[in-house]
Amino acid sequence: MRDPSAIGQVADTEQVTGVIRGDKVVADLENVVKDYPGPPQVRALDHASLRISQGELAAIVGPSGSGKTTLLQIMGTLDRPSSGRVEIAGYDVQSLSDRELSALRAQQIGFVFQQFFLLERESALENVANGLIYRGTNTDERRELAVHALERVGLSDRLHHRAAQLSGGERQRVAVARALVGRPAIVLADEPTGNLDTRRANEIIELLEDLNRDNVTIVVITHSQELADRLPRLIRIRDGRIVEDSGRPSSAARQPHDRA
Amino acid sequence: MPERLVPSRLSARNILRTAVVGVNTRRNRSIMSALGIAIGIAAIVGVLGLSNSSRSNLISQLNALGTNLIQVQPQSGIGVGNAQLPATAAGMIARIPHVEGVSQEIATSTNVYRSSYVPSEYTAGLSVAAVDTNLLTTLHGSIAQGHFLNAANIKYPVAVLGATAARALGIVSLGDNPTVSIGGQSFTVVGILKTFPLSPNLDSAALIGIPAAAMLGVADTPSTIDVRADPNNIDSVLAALAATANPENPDQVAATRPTAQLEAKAAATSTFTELLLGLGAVALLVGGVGIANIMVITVLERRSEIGLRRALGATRRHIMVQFITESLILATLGGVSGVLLGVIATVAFAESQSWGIIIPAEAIWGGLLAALLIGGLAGLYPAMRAARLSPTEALRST
Ligand SMILES: Nc1ncnc2c1ncn2[C@@H]1O[C@H](COP(=O)(O)OP(=O)(O)OP(=O)(O)O)[C@@H](O)[C@H]1O
Ligand SMILES: [Mg+2]
Repeated sequence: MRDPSAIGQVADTEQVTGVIRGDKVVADLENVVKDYPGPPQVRALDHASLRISQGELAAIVGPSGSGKTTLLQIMGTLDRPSSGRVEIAGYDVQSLSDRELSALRAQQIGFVFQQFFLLERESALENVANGLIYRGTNTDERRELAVHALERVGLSDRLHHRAAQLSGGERQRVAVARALVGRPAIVLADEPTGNLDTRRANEIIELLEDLNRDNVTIVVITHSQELADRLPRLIRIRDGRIVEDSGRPSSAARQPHDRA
Repeated sequence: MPERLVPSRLSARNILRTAVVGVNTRRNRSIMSALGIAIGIAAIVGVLGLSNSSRSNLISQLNALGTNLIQVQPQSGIGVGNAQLPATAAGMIARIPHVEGVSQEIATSTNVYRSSYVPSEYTAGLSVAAVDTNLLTTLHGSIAQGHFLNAANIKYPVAVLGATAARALGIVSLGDNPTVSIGGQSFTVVGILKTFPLSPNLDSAALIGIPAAAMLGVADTPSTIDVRADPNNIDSVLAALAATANPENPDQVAATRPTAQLEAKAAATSTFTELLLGLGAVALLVGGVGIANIMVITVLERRSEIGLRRALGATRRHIMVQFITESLILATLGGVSGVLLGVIATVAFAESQSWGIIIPAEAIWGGLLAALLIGGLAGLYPAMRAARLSPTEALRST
């Protein structure tokens, strides 16, 4: 059994000797195009290229309809690009079957959604433990890891509350715990603060920053420029094109980690 | 390239965990949708239980009566005129191999009255028959009060009353030595019988000894000869009967088995039973459609859950299995409660009829199996729809 206290750390760090933080690429997108068949046909992503390294915390910003969610879904292997190359945790997505993609998500990717998507009747603990069910983790280990994950997000006193009994901020913490309980290579969050007031939104971003300090790789979509400005890397997207990326050496405005 | 990606196999326990979520979340709806199956299964189990219990009751009656009784009577019919059995018939029949007992009944034209003051036209439909002393043994009849005719009393004016006759004559007890009037003579009632299921005409008769009857001027030609045959050789006895009883006119002899009708009844399933079974099957079908309906709605309502599960790494097959299992759970709930209901109804009704309780095991297994089958079929299409949803479609729904 794995050491439960290691939750919130990236799975493979210890095995990849000699690799310094930020060198291992966990998500690599090259010239990704995504067309939604019409009519009218919509080009949601237009030759987007992006590389996320292990241990990064990146914000994606952009106007509504600019393709942020589409980008995240393609990074999360929930959808396939119309063209372009996507590599997640070293796997070339194009060569994988639907079953293999499911296994990839189970093992390597954690999701956080704006709408939380908790099972209302189930306890916080069960909701988090459910995050491991498709990894084949056994029941006892699931529970133990879930307890630690909930402690990690500051909910150790809410383990047995039903999701329906929790506040919005607490629900999103449960969802974050569920995303990280399997120690995925990357956590993808689509507007996790969208349904929260400013204070709760701040708390969630602080939580993500905190997790990132433990080497969790996180990509987060946000509408709030203010929240995005706090994060080490900012990716701006407009009309399906990446128009600004502080992590790309060519866009000299920002360097990764220079604000951490 | 890193190691091969293989989706995990969910253990039975984890499959159940995923499937129980939906049942649990919408409890009332789950109960209602299981109800249709429950009613159908209950109807089928109940009908099969009741018809089997009533049949077993009939069969145990038959066993008590014995199916080896043959009644020999003169065959009257067109061109035959007034057929009679010879007086020697009983003695001859007794010599047929495999005959275990023979008793004669001699019908009389006299009637029985409570007393000699009753006008002779008030017969109350009661008759008088002269019978052998072993009649009770041959017919498997039994006495309710007093005793039957025997060698010691057949010469005297004593009578034994059939159950109906005793009631009609107002004789309920033998305590004060009641008498009846037969052929103008007073006969002492020495016994009252229980009903004869195989010879109902004796219920409304007063039975007297053959010597006593002779004194009343009754002829000695038997009207009925009751024959008990070895149960394994009934056919050979039947074949020999006519020629033995009346060697001169064998065609004037009718031999019948009074249990034949009861046997036919026990063997037949009534159309009513079939109708109820049909209704049960319809209820099952409707129940299945109900579950399918609920499952379709469930899948529509829970798109976001499906999306979430796909995001957590569920394969299409995981989703499919989850919803089929959910449907199976609903159907099993319905099936189990239906079987219970059917058993309870059968037990309650059989008890009230004091029948033995027989619920065929096939009804129970069949009921549960049918429920599972229906659940599986009902869940198949909705589960396939759920599995076909792409993760992004499913997640976009809210
Ligand atoms: N399934 C779909 N079919 C057709 N068009 C779609 C589909 N999904 C998204 N689109 C279109 O693709 C474009 C990008 O959508 P996307 O959801 O990625 O935007 P977004 O940046 O996440 O917007 P928001 O900030 O409002 O969430 C939009 O024009 C949208 O209408
Ligand atoms: Mg979006």
